[in-house]
Amino acid sequence: MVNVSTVKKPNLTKEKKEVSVKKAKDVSINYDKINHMDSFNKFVRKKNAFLFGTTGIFLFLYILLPILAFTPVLQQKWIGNITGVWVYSAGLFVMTVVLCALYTKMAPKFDQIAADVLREYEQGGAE
Amino acid sequence: MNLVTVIFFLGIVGLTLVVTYVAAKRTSSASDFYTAGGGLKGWQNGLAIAGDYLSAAAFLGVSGAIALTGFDGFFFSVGYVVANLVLLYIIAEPMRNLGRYTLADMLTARFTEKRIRGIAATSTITIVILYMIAQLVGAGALIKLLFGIDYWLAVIIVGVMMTTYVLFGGMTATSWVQIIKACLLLFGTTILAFLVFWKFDFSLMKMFDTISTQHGDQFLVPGIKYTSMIDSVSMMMALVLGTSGLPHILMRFFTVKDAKTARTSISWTTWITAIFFSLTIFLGFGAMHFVGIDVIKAENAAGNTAAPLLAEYLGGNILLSFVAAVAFATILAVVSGLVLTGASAISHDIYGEIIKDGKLTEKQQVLAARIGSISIAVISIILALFAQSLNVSFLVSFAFCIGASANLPVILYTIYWKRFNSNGVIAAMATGLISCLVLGALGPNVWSPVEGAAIFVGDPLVPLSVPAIITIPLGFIAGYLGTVLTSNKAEDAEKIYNEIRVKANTGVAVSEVSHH
Repeated sequence: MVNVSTVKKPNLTKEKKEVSVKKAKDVSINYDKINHMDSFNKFVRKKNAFLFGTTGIFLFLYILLPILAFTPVLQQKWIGNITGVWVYSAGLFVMTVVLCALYTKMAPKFDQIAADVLREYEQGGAE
Repeated sequence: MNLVTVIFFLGIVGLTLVVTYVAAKRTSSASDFYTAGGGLKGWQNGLAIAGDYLSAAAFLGVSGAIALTGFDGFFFSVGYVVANLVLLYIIAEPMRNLGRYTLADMLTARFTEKRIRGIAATSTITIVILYMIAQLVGAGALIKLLFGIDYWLAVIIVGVMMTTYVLFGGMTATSWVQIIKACLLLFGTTILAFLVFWKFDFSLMKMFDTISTQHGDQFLVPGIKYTSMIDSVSMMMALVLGTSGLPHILMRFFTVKDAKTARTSISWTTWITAIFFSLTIFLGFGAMHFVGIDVIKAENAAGNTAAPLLAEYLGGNILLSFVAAVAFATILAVVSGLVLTGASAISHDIYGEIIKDGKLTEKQQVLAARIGSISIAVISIILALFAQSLNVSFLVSFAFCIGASANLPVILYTIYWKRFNSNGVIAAMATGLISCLVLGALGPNVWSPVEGAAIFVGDPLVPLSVPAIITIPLGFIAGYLGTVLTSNKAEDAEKIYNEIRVKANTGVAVSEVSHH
């Protein structure tokens, strides 16, 4: 995600300077302040809703497999001799790569919002 | 053992030793040793994590299980693949943002007490030892089968190799051994699956028709091995949630520079495991049809040699030798990762941070890490030599169970629950750990009325082979009650949680890459 260095833009060509910036930043970040910013809380709520919402859905679909696998629903032959359990499992494989792709698509957007939050904190100020 | 086998075998040993030699030159600090300096690229770490997943249990065990029991064996494949999503969505990035070398580091970022580090290290060491015994015993038996050397000698060979990689090359060597092995394994599996699919005229319908008509419809649905729905649900819960609590997997997120790279890693792992575990269908059905269930069982009752036997049928001696060598590399890579993880808990958590208060110089830390590696290797080898005659492959499921019941609740609460306190950590971890071990020890893997089927003769008190369906809720409840029933609140608890929350969500102030 976002590193403060991208916000503070240390001069990478001068190592000594970078070290001093690094040292300074650990002391200077006011976590309480960021934690109480509206934009930060809005961001965390939005992100967690997406993460836990999706996790809930895929865990539910996943655990249905060992439940339905012992019922006639998935034990029937669906396509030729291929039974429902195999088709459902294939569906879970597809779900996994699709949700993985979805996450990799969403994550940079969250990175961007996180960067904005940190920039707002920076501009909002020195204490 | 013939010439081709020896050549492949020596090729693997030679290649991994070269990697270790190169890695050793780059391993000077504790950060190099435990996390490869945090300098791995996303695809490298992704392959290495895939390497951790694709253990001998996954490659030989799953293909063998499908060959003997049909769909029952494929349950594992689904579990391993979906487990990636749990890691990706809720664990990988906050883990990277908060931790340094170990799970305990991540927890003590919030709860600074030594007892927290102590219990996290205990859980890590327990998981590592259980997992390692299962791998070493399996390795010994497998090498005995494939190369015809004695069990004790096989265990010693594997033990010496794994110690060498870790001792000299630390995490860099361990990671590259994993990467090499993951590529070889994927290559070998693809060839086998391709040849099987060819024999079925590249038609899935024909493959399923053949299994159905010549072997029976019972292989196309669960029920040969798993007859109980509750038991299967319990096992599947352990697989999908336990992966996110396995310390040797979690440690891999510290080998990359930031959360973004941690995310890329898991993305790679997801694709690789999805492809690999899809191919296990072809390996399993291929072995069932072309080698035959009776032949497989005659060679190894658990079906562990189904894949090598299939290779021999499809490609003769050369393919058999290649697959055997890949299986050997797989074993070496996985046990090396375990040694390193065990060493991190012993040397960094217990010795460095608890006993020495974190006041070790860089040199002392590396020395401690090396001594820790040797200790954990020696303990495991001795235990594996004693466990030779026991069927211990179920110990891996115990490890997943502890990961899901002791580690996962604590990780989630630490990141996401403001009120969580250190008593909650102790309660959740102790409950998860003890309940898994006790309920597991009373289960059908240890007790069976049939003599020789398990370690002891008698009726199991707990009818679940993996007690995760009971122990996971217990772990979460214990963490909750331990927190709300005590008023143990450090003065600056809120301040620390604010910091954790900001760091976990923004990645601010993540330590920089040391070098490379």
